[in-house]
Amino acid sequence: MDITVLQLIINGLLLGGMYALISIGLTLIFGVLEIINFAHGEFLMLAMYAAFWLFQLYGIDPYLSMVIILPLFFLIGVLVQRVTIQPIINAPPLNQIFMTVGLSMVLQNVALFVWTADYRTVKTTYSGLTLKTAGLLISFPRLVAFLLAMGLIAALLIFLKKTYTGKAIRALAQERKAAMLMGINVYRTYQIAFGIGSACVGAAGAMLIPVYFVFPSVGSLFVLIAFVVVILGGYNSLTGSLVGGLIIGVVEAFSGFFISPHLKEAIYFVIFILILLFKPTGLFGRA
Amino acid sequence: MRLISRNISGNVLHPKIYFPFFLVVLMAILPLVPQNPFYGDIIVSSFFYGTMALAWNLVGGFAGQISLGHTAFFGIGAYTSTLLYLHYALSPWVGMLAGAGLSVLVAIGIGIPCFRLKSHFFALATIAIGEVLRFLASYWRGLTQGGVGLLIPFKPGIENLMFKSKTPYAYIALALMLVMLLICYVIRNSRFGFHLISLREDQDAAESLGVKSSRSKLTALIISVIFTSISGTFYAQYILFIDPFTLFSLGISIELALFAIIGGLGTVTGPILGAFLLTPLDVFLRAWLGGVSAGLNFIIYGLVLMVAVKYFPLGISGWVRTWYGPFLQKLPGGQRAWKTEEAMALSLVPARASDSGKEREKSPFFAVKSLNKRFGGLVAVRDVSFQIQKGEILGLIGPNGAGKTTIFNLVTGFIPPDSGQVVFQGETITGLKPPHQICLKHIGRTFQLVKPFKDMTALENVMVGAFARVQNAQEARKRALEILAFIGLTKHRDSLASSLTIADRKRLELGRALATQPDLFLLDEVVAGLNPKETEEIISTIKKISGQGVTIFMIAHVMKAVMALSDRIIVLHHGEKIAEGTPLEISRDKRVVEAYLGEDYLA
Amino acid sequence: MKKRTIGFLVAALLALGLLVSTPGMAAETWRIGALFPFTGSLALLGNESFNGAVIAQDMVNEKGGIQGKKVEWEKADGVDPKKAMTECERLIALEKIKLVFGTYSSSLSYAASEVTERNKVIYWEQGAIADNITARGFKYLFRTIPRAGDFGNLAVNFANEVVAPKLKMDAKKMKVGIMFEDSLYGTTVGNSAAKKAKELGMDVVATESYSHKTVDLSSVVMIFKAKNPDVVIATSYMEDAILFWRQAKEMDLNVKVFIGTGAGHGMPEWARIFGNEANYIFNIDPPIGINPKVFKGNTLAVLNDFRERFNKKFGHYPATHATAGFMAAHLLFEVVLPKAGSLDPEAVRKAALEVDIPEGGTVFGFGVKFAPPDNPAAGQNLRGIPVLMQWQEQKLWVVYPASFAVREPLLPLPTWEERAKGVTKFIK
Repeated sequence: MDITVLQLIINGLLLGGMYALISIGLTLIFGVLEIINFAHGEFLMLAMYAAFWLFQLYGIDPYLSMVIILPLFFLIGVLVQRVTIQPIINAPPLNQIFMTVGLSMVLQNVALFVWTADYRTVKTTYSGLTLKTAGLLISFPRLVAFLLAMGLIAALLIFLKKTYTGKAIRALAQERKAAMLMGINVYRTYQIAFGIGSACVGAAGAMLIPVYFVFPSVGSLFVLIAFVVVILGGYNSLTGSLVGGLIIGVVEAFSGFFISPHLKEAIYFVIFILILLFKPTGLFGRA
Repeated sequence: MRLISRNISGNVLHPKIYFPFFLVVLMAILPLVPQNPFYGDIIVSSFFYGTMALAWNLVGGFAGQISLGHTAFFGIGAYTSTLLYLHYALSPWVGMLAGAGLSVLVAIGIGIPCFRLKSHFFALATIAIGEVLRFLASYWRGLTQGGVGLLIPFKPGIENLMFKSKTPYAYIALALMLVMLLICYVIRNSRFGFHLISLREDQDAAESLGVKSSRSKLTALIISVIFTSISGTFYAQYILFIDPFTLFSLGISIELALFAIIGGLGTVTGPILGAFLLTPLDVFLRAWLGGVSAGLNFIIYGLVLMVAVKYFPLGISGWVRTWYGPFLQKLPGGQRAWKTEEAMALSLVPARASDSGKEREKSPFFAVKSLNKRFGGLVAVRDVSFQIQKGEILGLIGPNGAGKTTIFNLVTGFIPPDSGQVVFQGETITGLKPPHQICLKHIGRTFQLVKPFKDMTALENVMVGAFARVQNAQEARKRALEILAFIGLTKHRDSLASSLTIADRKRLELGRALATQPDLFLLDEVVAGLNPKETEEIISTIKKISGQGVTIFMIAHVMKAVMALSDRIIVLHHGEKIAEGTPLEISRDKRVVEAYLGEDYLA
Repeated sequence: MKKRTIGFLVAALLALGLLVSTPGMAAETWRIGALFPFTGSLALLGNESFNGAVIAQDMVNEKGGIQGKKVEWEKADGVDPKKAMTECERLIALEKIKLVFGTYSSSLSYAASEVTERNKVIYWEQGAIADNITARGFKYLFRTIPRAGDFGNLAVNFANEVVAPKLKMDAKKMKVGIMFEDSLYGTTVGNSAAKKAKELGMDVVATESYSHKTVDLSSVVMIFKAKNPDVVIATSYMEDAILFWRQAKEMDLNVKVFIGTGAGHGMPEWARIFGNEANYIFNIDPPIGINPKVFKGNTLAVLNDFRERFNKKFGHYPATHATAGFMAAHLLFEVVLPKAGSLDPEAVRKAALEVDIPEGGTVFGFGVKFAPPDNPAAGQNLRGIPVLMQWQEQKLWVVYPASFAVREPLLPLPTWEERAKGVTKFIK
């Protein structure tokens, strides 16, 4: 195969890995609580800032900072769920959407207020590191993000299958009323699901800061991508979010090269619309 | 979100009539008040956003389809009229129609496939549509100049929809808003409005009452899109500069929904209240706080939104409603009688079975032949055949999971059978889709888990059913009142369905379906969950219905009701018909006893 | 009954009145509107630009102001064109502002200046470069800095007059790749560069636009790798400039000359983030860091004073945008307003049109002469020119045109491999 095409595939997969990483948390939240969290991008933004400040002030490498960020964002997720989501859990979808829209507005502008609009990024020894094999170039931080995405999904799948809480989450995602009747504490499980979802976003943020940069409105760039990935993959399938992310990444890489860099995002939005129309459960989702 | 069915022939001197007119006059004077363009701009913006919010509300509030892509039509309208104006010197007054036409085409193309989606997914799809259009507008530089945008040279004149002062703009925007308001008002009190709201509340129930869901939603979307598109043209002629990022912005779509929510979703005046409050608020917040510190105004805006969503879900309109009525009463003339039809005697004209008058073939009235259905590996219905005679009450019983509700769903078009035939009055109706067709054929049904339209009153619920047979709202109201009397719910006619007891809800569901004048009435577990007294009452109601000549096919497993009502009974077990006969014969049938009670009980 | 209704209406009117009333302002100041994107995605450079003007304000107020009256800003946040227009209306109608200073972003400037022109209020544009801003024959609009067209032309001229000979290539055989972000800024510069390049007969192998919100530019990198341009001319904001360069490194894209055209490639962040890898990129911007010999009179002293004050107040030395804000404000406070004597728009425009500063008279090193109303570029400072700079030793140095230059341009760019080894192979 043409080396360009191979490189495009590599680029696409690495990009897709990043997309998948961002979307895992959203899949969990969307799949279990059936809420479109418009503030998802802002969680990512906060995670990136957290990783940034940990590096800037204490010299903690972003990869290592996950030790702090994962539990921190779990707690943040639980808190947000209790304060903003839980009160409207039974409200009509429109109200739910707008609660998260409002939250996104608040978070974005608080970040602007506190940290200003400056761009921040982290320069580590491996920030620009590229691996070269067989004439192909693979960016090291992106590769790490890709591997982490897979690892995280594997870990989550095990968690959901083997632990009680995990099973509770799956039960809740499938049939709320039955789950309640089975003695599952619905509200606590929602909080945990949201917390785990947020922790995943936290991990994504830590992974992203060596590759990208953070500023208050960076979330809005990523949130729509995350939705596309989640829907494509199947809104209640973690494997789906990985595969969906990879597909979107590859499609973007190819259409950017062969059609136009200007339209590559539009192309995956069109795919998004087509999926919604013809297979709304996505590639791997269950009805 | 209640509908208030009005009797239009009320007294003109009552504040209910003249106060709104007074408000309209106030609004008409408003553009003349401000001495400087800044306030003029706020007024123009308020009217303009009022129109767009009303248009959005038609789809998002009335029909319950949350669109977050309305900006697409706003942009199409603006670009179409602008390009036509710049290249062909076509007056924007004509250009706006072209824009609206194009928007309608796009809406039909999108709407038809997208309406199938559940609300969250529909919202996401609409976002994507807005984004795709933005990319196209920014990429297609040859047409739109891309990011550079299009500038409209300032040549004031009414033929160009361009004026030096804000006042003419304000009047045009006001006129547009009033037209949209009138349309919304008329819709809300009409058959179409009832249909939309019933679709929002429960699509399945609405379909079973003959509401054509796709057609209704599409009509609402088309009207909404026309006005959104015209607003786009207006915007272009007002701002005189358009670019893809401002026009196809997700922010606009969200803003429109915001106005409707804060104002009062699904109400007529709500969106206007929202637009009138939030437009100036945004301007002033930005002026006070935006300069002080970056982002402070948005933080407040966001918090307001979150609080409103949680604590004021009915919006400003909900709050206004609490004091509007008493307020009106205190105005001059407010004490006068309003509804003259209060005095109207409710004649107990029973619901006729059918007005159609067509002579149908006598045999068979209703027949099911070799119906089969499996779900994956589970065979739900296996080779079931039976007939129903005109005028009889046929009961369908069987242990849980026997397939009774599946039979209902197969017959009424909610799920398609794998094989088999359903014939009704000589016509094959197997798998007739969509479900509203079944209603048009004069088959009515109730649901096992009742599906009342919660935010409508009992009267309004029944009116939806009545609208299956009549177009006129007055007529529908009359019929609905008759039905309510027939089923004994007159005292609850103005109560919200959500406030009724289970027994009353079941009766409401009966009455609602009855209003569609079915020849064949399918009752799904209508007795379940009722206490003995309520059971007695519903049994007598069903007997009354049967007495009117309506053929009844009912699922039940409360033996008392089945035995008391049925002329004949069919017994289903594991998806197969195992017995058929009179209640007496059935009670003695060994297979039936075994199925219900198990082998050990065989006498 | 009736009383309550009346009471209600009165209360409503009172509330409206309260909203409407503006606090009384001190009479003895020069109140100037400052319309910038203070929030939103353009906030970074919007604030930078304004901060430059703030220093000019400090400097003049310390001297006791203009004619004894201090300068005061009335800030207005213009996040998008519609809101910018609304804010302009507010400044004019409520705050009685007669002069609006702004705005950095071309689309905001474009829309808002429509409002000022209609109201015969002065618009003093310090940093937005889209050509069409001054292509409308406006009488009350003045722009101090050069236009997008000038940026694009300079890039191509440099390629033609300097790069081609140095690389011993026929200019017409030189392959040019152009990339630009899709907003007004990128599109105008990109278009003008493409146009000029084609005019000169160069081989434009790729003209790639992209959404400025993109999170990945590997497609553009791959296209350039396939088409292999000798010269790349890029118009990017911060995030895309950085993203592209990172991915260019990751994918080993090597070109001989890379010319940025303002915004992203001229910010201090560029060096902060890339360190030595930032070096040898060219950037076109209004002239800063020029050969001191260009300056006449005490201009150099003013520039140095500005730079020190800015660093003291804001914690870093000013780059292009801040300097643009300063230059425009300084011109206003020191030359135009004193000459006009008041904020009366007619007096201000008369004074502005009379300004005739030769080269070397402003902190940018270029002069000032605004095109008169009958000129197709009415309001444009015709003496405003951009210069080409190059990052060397992580700082920007002016390298072209020669009169403004402080250093020689170094080319071609080292390949990434060479960079890693610290090897450069510049042609003398």
